[in-house]
Amino acid sequence: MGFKAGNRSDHLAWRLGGWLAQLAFSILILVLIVFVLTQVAPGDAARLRLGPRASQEEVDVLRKQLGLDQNILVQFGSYVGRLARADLGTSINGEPVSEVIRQRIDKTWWLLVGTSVFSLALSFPLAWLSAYYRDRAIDHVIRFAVLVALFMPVFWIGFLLIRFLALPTGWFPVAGLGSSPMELLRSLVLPCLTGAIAMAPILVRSLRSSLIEVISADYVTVARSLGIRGSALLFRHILRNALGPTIALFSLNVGYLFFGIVILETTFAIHGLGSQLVTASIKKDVNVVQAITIIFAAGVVLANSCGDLVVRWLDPRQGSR
Amino acid sequence: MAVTALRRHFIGLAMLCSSVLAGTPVWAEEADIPRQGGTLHIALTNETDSWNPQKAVQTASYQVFTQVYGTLLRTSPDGRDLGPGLAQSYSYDESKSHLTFKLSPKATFSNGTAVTSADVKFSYSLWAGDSLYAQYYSSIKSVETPDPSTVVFILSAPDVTLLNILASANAAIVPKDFGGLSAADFWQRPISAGPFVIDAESKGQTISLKRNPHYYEPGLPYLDGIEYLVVPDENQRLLQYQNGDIDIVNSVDVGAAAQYGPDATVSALSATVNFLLIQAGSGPLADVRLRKAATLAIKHADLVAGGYSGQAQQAVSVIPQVVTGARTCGECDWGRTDLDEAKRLVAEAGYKGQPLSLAAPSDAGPELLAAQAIKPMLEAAGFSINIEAAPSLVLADRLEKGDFQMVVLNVSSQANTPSDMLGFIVSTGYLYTRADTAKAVAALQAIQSADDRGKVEAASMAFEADAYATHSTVPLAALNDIYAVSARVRGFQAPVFATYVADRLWISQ
Repeated sequence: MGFKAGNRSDHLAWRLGGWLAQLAFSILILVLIVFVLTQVAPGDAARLRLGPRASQEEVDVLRKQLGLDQNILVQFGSYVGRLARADLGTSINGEPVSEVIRQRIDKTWWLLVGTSVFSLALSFPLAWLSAYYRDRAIDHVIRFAVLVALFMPVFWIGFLLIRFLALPTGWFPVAGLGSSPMELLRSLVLPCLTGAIAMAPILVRSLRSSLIEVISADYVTVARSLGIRGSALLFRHILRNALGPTIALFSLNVGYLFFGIVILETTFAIHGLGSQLVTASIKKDVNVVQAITIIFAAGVVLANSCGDLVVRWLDPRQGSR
Repeated sequence: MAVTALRRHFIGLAMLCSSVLAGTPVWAEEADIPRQGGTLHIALTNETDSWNPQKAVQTASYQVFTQVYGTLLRTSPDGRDLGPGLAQSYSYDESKSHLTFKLSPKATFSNGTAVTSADVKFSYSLWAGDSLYAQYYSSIKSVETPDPSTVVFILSAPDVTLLNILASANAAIVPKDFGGLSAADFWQRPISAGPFVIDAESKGQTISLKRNPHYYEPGLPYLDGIEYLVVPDENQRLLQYQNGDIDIVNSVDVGAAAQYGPDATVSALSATVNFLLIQAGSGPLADVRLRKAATLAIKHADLVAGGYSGQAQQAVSVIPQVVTGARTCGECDWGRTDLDEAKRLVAEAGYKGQPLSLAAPSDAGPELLAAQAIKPMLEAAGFSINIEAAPSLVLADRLEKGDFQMVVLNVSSQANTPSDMLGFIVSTGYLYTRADTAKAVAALQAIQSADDRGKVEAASMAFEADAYATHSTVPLAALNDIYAVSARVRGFQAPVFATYVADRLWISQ
């Protein structure tokens, strides 16, 4: 037993180390890519901050303050050095980047969680109905709806929901997130529903295929013949075996959602990290762009790793492959 | 219930009849008497960049500054008249080298301390010090404070345009030595003397202002507060307005104005001019005959009628006509169209049909539409034109580097003096076209030392004549500034210079 426990903890440590190494490597590559992109993009951050009326001398002074007068390698080295000390620097407006993040991260977090929950809540019943009533009218309706949703741009879905649901009924705000718990819930409905409608089609299609495969599998027939019915059959024998590919796909989608949040936040005027990423990119505010990109990149890696863990938990055979 | 309702209707009808007979409809009476209270929600198109007027460059910042900062003088919404602000009067000496202000005894900062001449002197040190706008104040040699309520600006040259600058939010009066705070702390939450004070701010998201109880105008402001919402997306501004979340949308895009409804928008001719900038420093367009041909080929009247949704006028000068002291020159006929003459000039210049680019920002304003309308007009004169739509960021970079041939661009005057536009013209290498700036510099100097309005106008005209001869900066249209204003907002007048003081705005029931 002792030997086994030791093996397991070694295995866990190994996996955690691998995960952290993957995270660090991904972030380093991303920092490098974003840094290079912001350098080659047209425009001068100091000139953009001071406007066309500022003299060249004033622009030069600000460039020096921001360290933009140094060679690119020195700038990159200095940035990575500061990053290693958890110092995200300041925005070109002089505000600490950590403060910019702190003021916005909660909104992005709620949006991510809400959209993930909504997409699962939407996908499971639809996939189940579609699989259970395979090739019947309801299946065709669901598959058609899923196909339509698959090709609808996210901002357009959001716009339609605002125009035809929020404005006529007044049930939901058209912009921003509420501050009290009830207002927050109310204001999350439309953006999360928009995100969920965009995410659900792939999940529904994947889960439907898996469910059809599992429902017609021999072990489900055997379970039925043994008198296993209802939730025991659904959760222990069908869903557990059908969920693997969908969970992997879901975690991948959550990864995409980190950057898709940019569109959701812009469509619903939510001042989160996604909309800030757009604003900072326009202003060539490199430190803010880098910080948000790192957070999103870490989120993508974390979502994929969590998905991986859940898949292994559902099907331990995955771990030994 | 039925009786009560009937009685209420009857009484209402009787009141209506009596008021109509008296010549004052009930609804008009209710609507026209200002009432105290309420919070106005105003959409800003982008985030503010600083609370320090000497460092801020965004128009949005100035739209908020006018509510927060007090200035010595105030300007009317049309920019034509000056009135008392923190100063109750002003006077020049005979030589116009001393400009004296008498401060109002009611002038008080938001912390309850009186505004004194020492505060004005300290504020001047900020305007003329490490400021992006120090050039505005270059005619001020020093400031004297003979007593706490009198402040004297000693001028190096008579500068009649200075008064308009002192009425702008750039000349904000702040307490001496930042009221005991460090400069950094002060500019986080400034002490000010305007109608409102900062209540809360979420950077880049919302700014909440509340009534300044020490405001120098008795009984004002009517509003309890203003909530500014930063909404960069045009569609979102429209949706929030339609949902009743926003009362006023500043700077509505020309293309979106119709969607707000026929009675929802208010507009005024603004200090923004839509220009065709033609590269005069290099390439085929360095030949002035081609630049003139391009101007003559444009059907200016058609462009103005069709390209700006009726929200523009034919521009007659480089310096916007709404600016006090701006005058066009006698020979400046920017609206003239003569296709035959244009063709003749093209042939005379030996232009061989090499493709010319006509760039416009793809993400802002009506410039791209104007460029698309101009293209066939130029081609009719024999030019070969390629339209290039580029993001503002990319275009700004190319303009800085002189990497363009023709660009359609909006340029705004920020202050009510020709020296503002001229200063900008000079600092941008004659709006990036590499045209000779000597005449603009001379006009700027003449204006900043003019002792009467006639000399300001003469200097403006001299510059306009040079601009017309150069044909590198072609004014196409003077644009309206459009505001969407909800029916519950009263007292709103569209301003000329994109900023307005909300102390007399009120909300009807």
